Amino acid sequence: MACVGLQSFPVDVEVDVADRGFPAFNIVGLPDKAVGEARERVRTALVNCGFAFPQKKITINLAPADIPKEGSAYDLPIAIGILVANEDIVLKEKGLFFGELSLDGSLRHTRGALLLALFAKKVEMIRIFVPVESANEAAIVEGLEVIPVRGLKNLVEHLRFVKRIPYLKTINIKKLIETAQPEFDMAEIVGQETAKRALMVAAAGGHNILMSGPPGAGKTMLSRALPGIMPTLSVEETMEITRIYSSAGLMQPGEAVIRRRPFRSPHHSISLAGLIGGGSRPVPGEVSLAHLGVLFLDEMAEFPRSVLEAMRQPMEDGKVEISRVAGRMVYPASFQLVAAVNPCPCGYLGHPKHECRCTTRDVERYKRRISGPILDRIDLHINVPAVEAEKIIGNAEKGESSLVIREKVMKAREKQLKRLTGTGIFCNREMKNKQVKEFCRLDSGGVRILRLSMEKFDLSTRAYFRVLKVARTIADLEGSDDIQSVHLAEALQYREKVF
Amino acid sequence: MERILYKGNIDLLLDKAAKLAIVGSRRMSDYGQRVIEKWMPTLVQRGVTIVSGFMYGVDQAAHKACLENGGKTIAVLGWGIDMKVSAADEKLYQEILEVDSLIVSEYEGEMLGNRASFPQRNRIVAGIADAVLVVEAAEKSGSLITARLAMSMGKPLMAVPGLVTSKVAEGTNNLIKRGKAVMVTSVEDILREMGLVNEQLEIGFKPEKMSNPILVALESGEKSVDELSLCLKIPVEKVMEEVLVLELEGLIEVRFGKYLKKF
Repeated sequence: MACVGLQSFPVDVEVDVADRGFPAFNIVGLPDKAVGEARERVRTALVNCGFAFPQKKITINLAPADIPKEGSAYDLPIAIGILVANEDIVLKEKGLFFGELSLDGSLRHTRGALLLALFAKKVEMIRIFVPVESANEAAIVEGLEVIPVRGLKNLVEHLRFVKRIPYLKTINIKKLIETAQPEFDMAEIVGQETAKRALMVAAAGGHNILMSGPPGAGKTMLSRALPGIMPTLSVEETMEITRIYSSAGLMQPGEAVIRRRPFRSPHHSISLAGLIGGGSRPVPGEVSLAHLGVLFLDEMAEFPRSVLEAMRQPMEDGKVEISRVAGRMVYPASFQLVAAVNPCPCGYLGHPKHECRCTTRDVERYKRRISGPILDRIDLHINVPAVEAEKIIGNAEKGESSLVIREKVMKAREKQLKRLTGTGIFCNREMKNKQVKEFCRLDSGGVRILRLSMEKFDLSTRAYFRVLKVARTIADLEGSDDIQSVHLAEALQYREKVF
Repeated sequence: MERILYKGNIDLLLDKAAKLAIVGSRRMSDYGQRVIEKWMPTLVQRGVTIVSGFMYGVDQAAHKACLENGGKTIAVLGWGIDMKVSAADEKLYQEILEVDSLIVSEYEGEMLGNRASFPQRNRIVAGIADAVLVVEAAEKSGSLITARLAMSMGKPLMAVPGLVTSKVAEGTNNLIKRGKAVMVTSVEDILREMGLVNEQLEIGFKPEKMSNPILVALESGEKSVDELSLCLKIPVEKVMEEVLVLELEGLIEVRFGKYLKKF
C-alpha cells in the first residue's frame, strides 16, 4: 500500500530471484531514499535472523511502477518475498504485510498503520501483519484480523504454523475517548474570568478568538485549556484526526487513537509549507494537524504576512488543497483559531507597572501587520490584561472545572445543531449572512442598542454580523431561544477592537 | 531669521489670542495622552491657540486634541515647507489646513529634517508662544531645548509632573524640582500662569449619576471587567452588560481592557 496525501492505493511487491547473472539486489518502481535503503536493512535483518541470503540476482519491483513510493513500510513485504522465493517459507494465507525492519530482524513502529487498516477493510483483505508497536492503531478498525508482529522470527514461525500469533481484538474507541481527561483544567487558572467566559463562548459557537495582552497575562495558558472545554470527540472525528496523525507519523508507539482534540502551537518562524502542508513529499501542515482542535498562533503579529494570508482558504473551507507537480492533495483543516498578540512591540502598552518603550509609530506599524481579511474571520476579540497579584490573592475563588464548562458548551451545541438542521452547517461560526438574518432576530431593545453601538464604535457591516453570531451563541449558552439585550451587550464587548 | 514660509491662515500668528506651546516626548505614554485630552476642551473654550512641532507623540496629540475640540493650532515644521509628510500624518496635515489653521516652516522646498533643523524649529515654537507647557519629556530631549529657549526668552514655563519611575517624566520632574518650571496639575493652573483667569472661580459642573456602583468603583482608578466583577461581587457577563450601557452613554471608556471614567 502506498499513500498520496490521505489517499491509499495498493502496491504489489514482486520479488524475482534469478540464477543467472551477477549477484545483485535492486529495487525498482520509483523508490525514494528510504525505500532504496531497504536493501541494506532487509539483507542484514535476514542474515541476523539466521536465514541464508541468496547470492543471486534479486530484483524487487514495486508495482504500479509509475507512482513514487516512499517510507520504510516496504521492508517487511520485501523480506517475506525473498523468503518465499528462496523457499524458506510457503505462504498459505493471504494478508497485507507492512512494517520497517530493524537490523536484528525486529519490527519498528511504522507510520500509516491506520491508513493500511482502512485500505484493507475497503478491499476486503481481512488479515494484516503490522509491527506490534503500530498494531493498536490498526486495531481500531472493525472486522479485521490485525496480527501484531514482534520480529521476523516470530512471523516466520507463525507462517510455518509452528507458533501462531493471536490477532488483536478490536479496540473500543468510544471508551478511550470518554475516559480522556482534559490536559489543562480551567479550574487551575486563577482570575481572568472575562477571558474564561469568552473562551466558553468561543467553544460553544466554534468561534475564532483573538487575545490581546501583555506578556505573562496568561494567554498561552488560557488557550491550552480550550480543547478541554470543546465538545467530546465523536468516534468519526477521532478516526479522522488519527488518520492524519498516522499518515504524518505522529502517533506514539502503542498509541491506538488521538483521544483528545489536538492543540497545535507552531512558532512564528514557521514556513508556508509547514503551516499549510505540502512540500515535494506531501505532508499535512499545522492547520491539518489542528483539524477538529485548536490552532494557537502566539505572537500572531510576528508571523510572516504571506503565511497568515495562506490560512484564509482553510479558515473558509475547512480544508486545504495542495497542488504540486506530483498531483493534487486535499487535507481536512477544520480548526478553531486562537490568536494571541501583544498590544505593542515591547508588549507593555497599557501595563499598570511596566513602562512601554514604543513610540506611537511603532505601535501603529505593529498593528497593521495583521490584515483585515484575517481579522474578519475572527469573531471574538478580548483583552487579557496583566493580573495584579495582590488584587487576586485571597479574593479569587476556584473557577468551574473544564468538565462542567464542557457540559454547558455541549448543550449549546445541541441547540445549534437542532436549529441548523438542513442547512449543511453545524455551528454558529459557520452561519452565512442569510442565516444570521434568519436565526438572529433581535427585540426592539436589542435593535436600539445595536444601532447605538454601530454608531458609537464605528462598526463595519461585517462586524455587525459577527456581533450577531456571537450574541446567538451566548443566548444558546444561556438556554434562551431569543437573543435578549443582555446577550447582545455581552457580544458587543467581544467586538473587534484595534488590539 | 530672514523669512518664514507658511500654509494656511497666517493671521493666527499675529492675532491677539493667547498662544500656548505644548511640547513633549515622541514616546508619549497613555498618561500624557490623557492629560492633553482632559485639559484641551477648556483651553480651546478659552480661545487659546495651541502651538507645537507636528512630531508624532505629544506634539501631534496636542494638535489633534485641539482640532477635535474645534480650536486653532499652529504647527511648526522642522523640515521644508513643501516636503510630503508620511501617509500616517497626511490626515492631520490636511485637517489643519481645512479648518483654517496654520503650518509654518523656515525651510524651503522639500528639505529633509536633520539634527540641526529640529532644535532650530524649537526656537520658533518657543518664540511664537506666550507660554510653554512640557507634558512628558525625557532627560536630554528636544522638548527640554524648547523649555530652555522659552526661559531665555522670559516666557512662562510649565511642566506636568509624572511618575518618578517613568523615563518620560524625568525631564519634566527635574524642571519642577530645580524650580525652572511651574508645576501644573490642572488646567486652571495653566490659565492662571497665562493670566487668563478673571479671578472669579468657575463653579465646576458635576451632574453625575453617582448611584451606579460601577461608576463609584471606577472613582478610585481604572479597572478591568474582572476587577469590577470581584469588587462588586457580580458575575462578569453582568458587568459586561452594564459597562456597555455606560460606554454607550459616554460616561466611561475602555483602554487596553481597563475601564476608566471620562472627565
